[in-house]
Amino acid sequence: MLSNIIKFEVIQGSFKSKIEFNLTNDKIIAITGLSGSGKSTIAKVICGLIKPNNGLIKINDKVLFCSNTKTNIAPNLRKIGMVFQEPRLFSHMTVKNNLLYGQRRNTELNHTKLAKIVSILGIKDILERKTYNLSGGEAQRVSIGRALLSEPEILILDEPLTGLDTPRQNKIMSIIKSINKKIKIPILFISHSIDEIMFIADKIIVIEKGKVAAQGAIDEIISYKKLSYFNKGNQKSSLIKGKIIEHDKEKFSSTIDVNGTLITTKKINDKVGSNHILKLFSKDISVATEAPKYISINNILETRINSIQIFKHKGSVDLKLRIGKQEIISEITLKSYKNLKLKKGLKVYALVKAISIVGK
Amino acid sequence: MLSALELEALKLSAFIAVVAVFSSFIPGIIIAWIISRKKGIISSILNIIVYLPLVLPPVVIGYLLLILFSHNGFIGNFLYENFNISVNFSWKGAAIASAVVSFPLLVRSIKLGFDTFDSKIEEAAYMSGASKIDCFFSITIPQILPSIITGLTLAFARCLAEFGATITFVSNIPGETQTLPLALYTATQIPGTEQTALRLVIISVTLAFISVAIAEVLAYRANKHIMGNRNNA
Repeated sequence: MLSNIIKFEVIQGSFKSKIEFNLTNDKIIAITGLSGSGKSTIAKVICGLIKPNNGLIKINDKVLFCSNTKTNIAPNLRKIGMVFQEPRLFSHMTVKNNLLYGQRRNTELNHTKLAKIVSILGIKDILERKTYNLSGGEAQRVSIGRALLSEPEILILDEPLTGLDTPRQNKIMSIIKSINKKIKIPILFISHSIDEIMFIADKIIVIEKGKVAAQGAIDEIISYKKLSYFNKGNQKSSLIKGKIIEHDKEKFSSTIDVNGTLITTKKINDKVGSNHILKLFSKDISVATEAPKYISINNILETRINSIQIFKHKGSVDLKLRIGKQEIISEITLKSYKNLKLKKGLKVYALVKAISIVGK
Repeated sequence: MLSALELEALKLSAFIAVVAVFSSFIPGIIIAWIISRKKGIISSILNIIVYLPLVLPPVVIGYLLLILFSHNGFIGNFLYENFNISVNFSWKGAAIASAVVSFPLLVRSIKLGFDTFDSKIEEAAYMSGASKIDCFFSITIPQILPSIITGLTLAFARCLAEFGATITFVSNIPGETQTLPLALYTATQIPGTEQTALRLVIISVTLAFISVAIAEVLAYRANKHIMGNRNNA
């Protein structure tokens, strides 16, 4: 098995990053973290656009950087397919010439491969167009195609879905998944969005203040507390894992067992017995000390308060509520907290207004 | 139709402008790139030197060229001793004078192109396997083409208008250094040649108009090639 080692230290002014992880071939690995945590630095270091102060970067047994032997391969010789946040297309060329730009420089022209990539990306109809009048989604697909056609040994995507609307994001995520199946190269997907990484990744690496804070498969990582904040506008959420126990076709709903607590969701297109990860925004969870009878909310979960965190300056309180071995966070106002006389260990009912399914 | 003198002055003006602009084209791109991309004391000093001809009186430039290129001068002596080349009182000297005064305009435009070009695009080219030189010719230069065309136009127009440095450096010799502005100057100095002067004015304006119009069309096309219809500036 070919070995991939990413291990480096970068010091840029007051920012210091010390990273170490391994990559597995044929897998999609997500790197995530809050803004400014040093996610993009990792991509730039692997690409050779930032020279680390020391370390070892090895992809497919090929040493790209080694501070001990003073090896530092130029970015253009590293064989890395890079997709940036903005598509960065060459606007003086047609889509086709953008796609062939990398291929011409790395191998002989291969129209079969071009046709294959064009078909995976669904960009056949725009090949002769100039890039300046493409939509954001089209441009990003061309950018992915250009990276793939440069015969890369690894594909790195740095926040490639930023600025796209949800349907386009979903389309590109599906494309990335199919690339992983059809062209077997390791993919490094950098994103700050929990929804994206849950959907796409086989393994997740969480970066915090320039260091690897946690890494592992999705279910090993969902309890990592900082993941709660990886949402748009840093909104807080909780991730919990459960198993589908039944579908109700008439009510268009599914029931999920989370450590003995039953949760109803919109119907999930998957078989009974399969595991899913649910995301619950903290602001969508209210609490009551008695079970309300006449209410539109479907999920009224009997639970206990595990811990309480008060934010006086914001006038809000986070309640960590026990769901079996897992936890959900409810964010309520300080006023409600005082009115209800809540305390640790108290039995409460969590009223969950909305739930989304983010991964398996 | 044009008289022999008018035709000669017109041909000489166009010829000198073309030679001056083409010979300063490659150094102009290199210096614009250094000033735009390299930060430091050398780059800053180079920046000031390049812009000097824009603010110095042309007569000062002409006089400096005269000192440098005379047979006793630093450059003139070198050229004469080694290559038997003398630029004094010849069209070559007129082309040098035009190149020097138009150089800042050429460099300024191209530098602006380098400044405003998003160099992140270059990173995408490197990651596609292009070396720095390959990327410079296949991406950077085509992307800043409108700025290059604008620079060439401004420099060409400045060469056509060149007067002070030329007359000081290489004098006013019909058929050798007498460009349109110099011929016009001569005509204004001799009583009874108002008709000739007027004709020379019309020729100068027409030549300038045509050159700028052609350049505008080229710049528009280059811009459209890169930006589509979003920016027709």
